Amino acid sequence: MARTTEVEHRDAGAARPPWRRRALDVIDDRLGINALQYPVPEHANNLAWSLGGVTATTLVVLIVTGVFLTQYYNPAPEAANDSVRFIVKNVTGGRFVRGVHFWAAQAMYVLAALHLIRVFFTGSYKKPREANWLVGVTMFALVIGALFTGTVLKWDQEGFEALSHNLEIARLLGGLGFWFTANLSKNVPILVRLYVAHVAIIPGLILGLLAVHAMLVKRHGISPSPAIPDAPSEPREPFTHHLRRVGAFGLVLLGVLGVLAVLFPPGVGPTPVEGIEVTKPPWIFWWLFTLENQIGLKGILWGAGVLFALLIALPFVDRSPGRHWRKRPIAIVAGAVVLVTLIVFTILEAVVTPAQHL
Amino acid sequence: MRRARIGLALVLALAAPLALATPAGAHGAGESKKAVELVQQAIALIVNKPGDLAAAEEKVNDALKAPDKAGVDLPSVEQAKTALESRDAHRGRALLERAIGAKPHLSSVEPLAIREIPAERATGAEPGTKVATDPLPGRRGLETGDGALLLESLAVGVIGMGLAVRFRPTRGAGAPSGRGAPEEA
Repeated sequence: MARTTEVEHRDAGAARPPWRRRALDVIDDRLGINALQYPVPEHANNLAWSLGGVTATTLVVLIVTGVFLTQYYNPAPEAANDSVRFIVKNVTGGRFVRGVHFWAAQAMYVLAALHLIRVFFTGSYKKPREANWLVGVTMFALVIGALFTGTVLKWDQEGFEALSHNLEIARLLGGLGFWFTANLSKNVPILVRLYVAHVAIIPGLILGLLAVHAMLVKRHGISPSPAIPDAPSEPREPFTHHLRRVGAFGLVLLGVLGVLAVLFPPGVGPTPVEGIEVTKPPWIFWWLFTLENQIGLKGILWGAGVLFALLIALPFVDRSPGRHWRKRPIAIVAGAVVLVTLIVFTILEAVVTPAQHL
Repeated sequence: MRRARIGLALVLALAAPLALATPAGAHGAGESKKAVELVQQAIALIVNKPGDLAAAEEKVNDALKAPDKAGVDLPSVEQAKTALESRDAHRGRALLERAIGAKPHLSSVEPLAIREIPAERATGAEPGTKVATDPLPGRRGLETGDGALLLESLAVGVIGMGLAVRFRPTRGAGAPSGRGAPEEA
């Protein structure tokens, strides 16, 4: 049948489409990939508007390297620290893959934060995108959760102290902190439960929310750039062009992660001992620990609570239609105050000696 | 401009008290009454803060005064105290490890094989290990294959950059650089 069609084509003198086009048509007939060709404004291809997509590429890197690491990591408390050392010293490529995983996690946090700042700065959270802002804030919280659980998993003094802080915070929360108490499941070490959270619960939630996030971007369209006064006349490009530029940025990122993994691979700290506090948490949490240094353990709870309350409240408080930063002085000044406060608190923690809190 | 100055003043006002404030003190469950735990903590302090032995010395003193001295060889702890007072961290640590029956300093050289898990398993939030091992530094110079990985990573980055330039927006308009007038509300 196919041969007959070919002959008919030749007889008719019609030029056959190139093989790549035909292959894509075959796939499109079955998967509908041409639906990705929908038009988006040209500014979507700028780096600032591609930060969300690049953050998603770090998720892919983290999943791939994470699957590798799970083949060798042992979440039993007696063996966890040694199994990380085993990966670094005895598994072929283990040190490199762990390095890429470590740096990709840092990159994901930074990129997600920059994406969030870009969305704030350009007013992209405003009507009708409030729900998608909340989805994004939830994903940001999950990224922080993944970083926290990843810190604990290496089960060194730093990871153990991070967990100890969380156990104390769970106590402060009372019934609400039940998941973080060892009492929830007395026969299973909490490290095993955090491992499950790190490799299944948190990535699963992020992937699910990512699908919702992307669906809502499609539903509402890429937000207009306030720097372009005449948005309707802006040229349009297919969404696939946005994807390929994100892919290109993703390759740059992958190269940087590889270089960092080779030149600055993460170490493994001493096996943990209870009852001392001698380490600093990862830099991402430093601002919270400045608060702890000043007002005690409650500072962590209050700091995180206030930051996320502000993020959640933002689209419901700032309801003015203007998106350009010059038209939103109160929101921009408030955002700058929050951002500079976080930076100042982070720097303050960097210069102090770890104090005993627990 | 005036608004920016007000914003800056607000931030400085917010940060200043924190820079001047004193850190909050400990508020935990208190010191252990078991000498064996205090010796473990002293070893961990030597491993984690090798340049500052004062905290480890304090823990050794606490261990010698602890009401529950079960499982600890006190003469070794006394010797460790003398060693730490003379700033000999290596000897002090080895003596403390011997005092609780641990293999001195060997855990990081001969790491416990993954299958050799002690019979007593940790539950809840127990650390599961008894003695702090030496840290494993991340950067130990370039190893075999690192050169190739470095070159491959650089190649991937350069290809990515080339593609990013090739796929850039045709007009390059719309960068959020603050150019252009604000949109009409």
